[in-house]
Amino acid sequence: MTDIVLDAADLTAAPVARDRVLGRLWRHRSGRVGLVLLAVYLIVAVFGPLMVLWSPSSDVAYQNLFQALKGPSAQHLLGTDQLGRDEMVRLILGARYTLLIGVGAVALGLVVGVPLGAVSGFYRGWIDLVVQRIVDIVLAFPNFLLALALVAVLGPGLRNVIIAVSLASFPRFVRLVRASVLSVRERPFAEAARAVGVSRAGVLWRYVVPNCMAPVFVQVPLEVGSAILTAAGLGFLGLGVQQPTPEWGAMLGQAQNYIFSQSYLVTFPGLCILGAILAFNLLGDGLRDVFDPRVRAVVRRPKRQAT
Amino acid sequence: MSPLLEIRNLRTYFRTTAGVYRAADGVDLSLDPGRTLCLVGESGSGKSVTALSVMRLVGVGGSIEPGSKILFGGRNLACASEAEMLKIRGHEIAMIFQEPSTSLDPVYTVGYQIAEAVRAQAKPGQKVTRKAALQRAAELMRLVGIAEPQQRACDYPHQMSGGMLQRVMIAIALAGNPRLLIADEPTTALDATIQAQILELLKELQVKFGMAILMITHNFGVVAEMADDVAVMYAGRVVERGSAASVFTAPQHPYTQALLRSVPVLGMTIEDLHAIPGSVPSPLGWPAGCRFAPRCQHAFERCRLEQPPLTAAGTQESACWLTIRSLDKAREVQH
Repeated sequence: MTDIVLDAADLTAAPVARDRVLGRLWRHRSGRVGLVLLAVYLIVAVFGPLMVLWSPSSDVAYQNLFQALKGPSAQHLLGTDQLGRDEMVRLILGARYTLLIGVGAVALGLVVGVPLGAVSGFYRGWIDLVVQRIVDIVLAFPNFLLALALVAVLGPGLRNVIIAVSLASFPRFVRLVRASVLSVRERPFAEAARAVGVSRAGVLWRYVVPNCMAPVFVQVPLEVGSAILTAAGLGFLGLGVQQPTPEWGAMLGQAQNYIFSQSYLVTFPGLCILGAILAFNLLGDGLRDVFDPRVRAVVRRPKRQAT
Repeated sequence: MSPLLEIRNLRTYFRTTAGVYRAADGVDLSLDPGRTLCLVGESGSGKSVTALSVMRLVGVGGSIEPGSKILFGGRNLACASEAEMLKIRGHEIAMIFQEPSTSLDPVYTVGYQIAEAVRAQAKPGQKVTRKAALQRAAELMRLVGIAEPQQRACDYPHQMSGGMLQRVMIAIALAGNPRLLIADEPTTALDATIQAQILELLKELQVKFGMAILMITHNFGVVAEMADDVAVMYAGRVVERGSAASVFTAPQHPYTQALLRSVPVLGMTIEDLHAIPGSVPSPLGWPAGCRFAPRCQHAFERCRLEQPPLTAAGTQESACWLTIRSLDKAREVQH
């Protein structure tokens, strides 16, 4: 109820885009930082290869040992790595892999997790039992260990990393969706839909599931952040995307021998990973507040009028 | 005229850890095409369960016991398959509920939800385009008395008032052009003036579409307004049924009489208002014999031993040994 009152006050304070999620996110402090940071990463990921066409290092297989391990200079802003490749060019090229793994793994986790959770919570019975035991088993393993084992079995490579990382995230979606479905399916509109002739499956997919998506939207960016971290860890151990592909985690792993002599080689990939995870986590925080009416009331508090 | 809906000995039981919950336990009803039957009774008397049984939506743990008959248009719905029920729900029998604000999906616009019902009710093989469905939705909204249907169709449920939402629910129910509309306390959640409007609308639509209405209520004002026929339920059974006029003017069953005496009328003092002593027995164990006997002032020996059947008494039917005894006496006098 307080929310409605504040809404009314808010009408005069900020009439622009009050009802759009994106607009509300923009007015949320950490949400805005997350959005901007993510936009930068996206631009670099999409246009990265075009930005670095001038450099011979844009060919990932390029080597120039005469230029190896040179510190930052006017010619190589972030220095060169052990094979003489421009570090900045490689970081720019690497953005797409990190985002692809993060988003891809979570998308796969969603595609598997949401339907499983929905079916499990809606039909209950033996389906629920089987799905929940599978989820329990997967959750019993530490995330990273599971991904590690899976890559060891499937072999390294971009696709396998995505599969391995998604396996770690899907059980959380199953749990989240199941919990929401359990409460939404008892709401009267689900029964009302049945009374006008919608089948059980129709009620689940068209009425119940759409009402369960808000917490999932909040969870997605947080999951992307953790997927990026897991993927970078795999890359660091040499089990992720293989050389010479410039994946940040792999670059970090390659550079570990030079950590004391050429510390910039570990600093910048590390910062890139940090920034990416930070972007998604801030976005997740913002989304959580935007979707939560109690927190929203605080966020939307109108500015005190000068009297 | 053969009845549109005839319920015979409907027993719907819920098996719980506490025991078998006999919510409906031998319900007998009949409803003719185009007429309105009001199902009256206290909370827990099995009214809603009877309605949900007709829709076959009794929910988890509930089952319609073998031997129950729900005859609708020549079919026995009590043993129809789920596939058959999908064809009946919405197409031939539609239902509206007590709380319109929670019976609509909050994430879609009302127009979309009506259109969805229109599409769901399209005859098999006949594909209704999204646009045509929205068009029809606007028509239906106009039909249920919503002004500016094109604009209101874009509203979400939380943007509408309770009365408007109930109109939307009715529009959804009308999408399939049903022969029977079940209304489970459709006006309980609305305020008095809106109540009257909704009842008026239902009567108007009933004439226009020629549908029968099974209305569940515990409000005698609604009964007086709407009913052609009345069935009074007590403890999972129908204790009296007949035309509204005869049940109102000459109630036969002591429960009906007591119920009518407990209706407050303007100008009455509290002393005039009669409460029925005792409380409704638990569906986990109905009393033997007549279920109203423990609370009945006129109960005698036979009432506590044997369950009375529905017996014709005047123009209505009543399930009471008292009625049966006086009828028997009258017959003896004649001989």
